[in-house]
Amino acid sequence: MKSLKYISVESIIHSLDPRTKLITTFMYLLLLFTIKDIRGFFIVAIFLVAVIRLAKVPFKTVFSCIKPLLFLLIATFIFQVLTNSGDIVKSYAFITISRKGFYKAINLSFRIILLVIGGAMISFTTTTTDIMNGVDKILAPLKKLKVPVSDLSFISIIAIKFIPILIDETSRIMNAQMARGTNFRSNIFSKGKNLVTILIPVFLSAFDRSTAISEAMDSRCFKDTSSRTYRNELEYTKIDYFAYAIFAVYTIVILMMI
Amino acid sequence: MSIRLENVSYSYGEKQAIKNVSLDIKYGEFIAIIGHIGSGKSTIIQLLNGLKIPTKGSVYFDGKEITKKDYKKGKLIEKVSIVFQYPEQQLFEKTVIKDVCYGLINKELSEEEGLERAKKALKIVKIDESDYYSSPFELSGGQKRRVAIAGVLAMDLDVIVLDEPTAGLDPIGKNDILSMLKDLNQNRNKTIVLVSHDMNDVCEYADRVIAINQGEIVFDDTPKEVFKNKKELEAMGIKLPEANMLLRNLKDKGFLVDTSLINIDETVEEIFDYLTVRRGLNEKS
Repeated sequence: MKSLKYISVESIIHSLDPRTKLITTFMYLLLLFTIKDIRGFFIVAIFLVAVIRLAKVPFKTVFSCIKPLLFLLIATFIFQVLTNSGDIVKSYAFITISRKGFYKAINLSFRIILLVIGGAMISFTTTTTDIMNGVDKILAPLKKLKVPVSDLSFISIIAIKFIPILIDETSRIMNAQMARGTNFRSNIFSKGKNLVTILIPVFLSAFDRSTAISEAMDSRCFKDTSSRTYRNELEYTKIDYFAYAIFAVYTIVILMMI
Repeated sequence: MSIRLENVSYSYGEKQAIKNVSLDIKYGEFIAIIGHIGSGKSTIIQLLNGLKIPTKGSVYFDGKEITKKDYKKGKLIEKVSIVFQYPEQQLFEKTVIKDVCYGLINKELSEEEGLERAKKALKIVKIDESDYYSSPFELSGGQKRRVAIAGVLAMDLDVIVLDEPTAGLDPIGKNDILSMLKDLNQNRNKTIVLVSHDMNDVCEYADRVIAINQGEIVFDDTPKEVFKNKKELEAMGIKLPEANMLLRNLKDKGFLVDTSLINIDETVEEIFDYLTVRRGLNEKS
């Protein structure tokens, strides 16, 4: 979670409307699945590097978000290599490695890496509030179908905002229980019991907090009315149209590769 | 017999919370740690019992250095207990007494002995016997805090570290807890390390004050000596105790009172003395 934090710098990408970023990211992810060979991934990588540079996100941070995926990457790679049949390159006993399987494995690994980094870029450059406001605005037409869009986006914002607070609280309570002699590194059997000493306090405080929030909202007359306004009303600017234009060019290039 | 930090530094990622701190805590002392928010107080106390491993420097318990290997065993130093901020949040058991016993069960004590010690601890924090078997979550905030503190006291360790144990309590609950600590210190020879924001409490109870600013120890002396440094303390964001402020203000207005006093009792006496004896003499002459 920590590796996906918002990075507060001023850049062109940061200043884009969240809707622009959401829609282009979504398209980018879709397009990734149309690519079938290594040349395509090369173009995507160049595009992505350009975006990363424009967003002024350090490459170190970008790579840190792949680290937790390393195991998954290796596992899928091996799985792909072993399960695909085709012209056999090498075989030991029951293990056979085919050219097709090998290429598929490479493609899949590239796809996962580019997918994750592309998706992570949005959380590097957009605050959660902005993301939710963007989603709210994009889904606004659904309100006509009586879907409570603002409610849902508001609930999501609160939930996301509370993750770091709850993590903090968990580590605090864990420290407190450790100071009372709980050994969290002990064997599996006592681990269950040890977990209870954290879960109950954390759950209780989460309930307390949610009660406090709902009371605070009520006391400020917060209600979901369709006429609610925002502090920062989202509006497209010139850069957004420019970004859409560039992305359209990128889309055409990728589609031509197929 | 002591806890010693030697040139200890601790950093969270790239942010250095504690810089080159050396500290010697002898058994039987009542120490107050003061400092502004984010000065590193909470980090220092976690270094005292091995919850945190110093990034640089060493920690000694009774002259024995605690090495990194000792930390990795997941076993904390069994001489120091910590009461964290808002300890009532750590309660989880079905009954008050069970919660107090929890730390003792971890020490593999027999049930009878555990119960006995739990009852003793609950008596110290003045929890009614009728509440022993009720749920801790049904108690009031102040009572919950006392139960949580009892859970730590029941462990009966030599050193008790408390991180703002009186935050958010009413004046009576506050005094109860602080005088209980003083009693533990004087009559049971416990070492108390108290992190506090309230300088009035610090002056009433502590024998030694350690002032921390930006991860460094600025003052380490008796309360009287430390609170002589008005300018430096105010620059660190620490207010002087009210009694001392009163004396200083009086002196500024031309009353010749002793401004080194910090206790409420001493201050009352000084002002009384000034008004009756000295002032009286002055007028006669």
